[in-house]
Amino acid sequence: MGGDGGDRLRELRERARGPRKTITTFGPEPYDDLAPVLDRFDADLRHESLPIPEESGYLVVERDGEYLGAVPAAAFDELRDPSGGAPWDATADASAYRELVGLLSGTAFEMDDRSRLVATAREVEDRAWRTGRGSLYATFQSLSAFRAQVPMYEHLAGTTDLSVTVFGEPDWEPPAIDGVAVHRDETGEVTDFWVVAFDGAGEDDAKSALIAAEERPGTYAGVVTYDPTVVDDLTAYLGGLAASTP
Amino acid sequence: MNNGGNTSRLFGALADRDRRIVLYYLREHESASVGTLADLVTGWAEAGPGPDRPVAREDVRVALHHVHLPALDAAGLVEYDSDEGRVTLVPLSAGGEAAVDAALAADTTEAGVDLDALLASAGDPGAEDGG
Repeated sequence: MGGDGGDRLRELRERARGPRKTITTFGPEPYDDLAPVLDRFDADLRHESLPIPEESGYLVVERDGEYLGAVPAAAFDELRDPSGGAPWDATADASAYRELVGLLSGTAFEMDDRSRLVATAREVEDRAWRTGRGSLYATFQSLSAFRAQVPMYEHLAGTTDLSVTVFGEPDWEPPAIDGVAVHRDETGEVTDFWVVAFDGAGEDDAKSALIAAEERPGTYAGVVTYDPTVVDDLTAYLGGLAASTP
Repeated sequence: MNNGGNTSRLFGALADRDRRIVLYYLREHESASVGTLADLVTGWAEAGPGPDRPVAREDVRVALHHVHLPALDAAGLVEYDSDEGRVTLVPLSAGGEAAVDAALAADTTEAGVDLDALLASAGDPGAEDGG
């Protein structure tokens, strides 16, 4: 268990939650096959029937009557099966799933699908890669879980001025990567968590973080946030943790 | 209702796409809040049928409130309670239904809207009672 660090991350995850959001689909019939995706987010789901072709439908995300954005039905396939593609993939610009995650920042979610959580984390890594500088922190249960992400992080650090810190229980020795520092989390302080946090290189608009905890084996409850005060506190905590031991 | 002058009013009401979208929605739902209609129209422009076009939802809401809903009300197509921010559809004539159907088909396919064809489908070409 994560001890003090776990309490701190749990508290930050709670702070990251914003007002409840509503997802409204517009189209001839409810998009029932989207429910398994949208149901993972703690938002109100509604359908408004509209006599347009099914492929011309769209969904709108709003919060307290404030319109946040829309995603076209043409992109719903990508919501159903999000790619975990890296930020620099040509298709990343059009990633509907990342767009949805962005619109649903501050909305709690529960996911038992690792590939979908990877795709969710990409929203934060994407912002870091586009900004190209600043500090990015990523926690893994164990460093062996980082193994599959090594090529991604090599490219992420190698094509930017980002300073990347990776945390994990030391069950595997990662290769040395320029721009990537590895923190061997001997105490398991962040073991239960999957955190990706970008400090925005000081720009509030670019600050973002995913904070998820493994509540049951294989099931993560979390939130993506753009709240700069939460991200500041989170990156300060992780920065301090990385500095505390070699 | 005076059907004679309604054709020109219908023409005017249907000339604007945002007003047409409101009618498509209200035919399914009868009444709606201005807020819901603003979401509907903004989402349609940004992610729905037709070309993708960024718009500001607040601009859409203001235009609905000040321009489009009063125009639809004046044309006898809706009743707009601007104090309550609530819009209710007035049942359309058969010609009006046909015109809105034709507009819907045009708005949800590649074809543009042919307003002359709409007028013809309204079944009352050229009628004008001046008021």
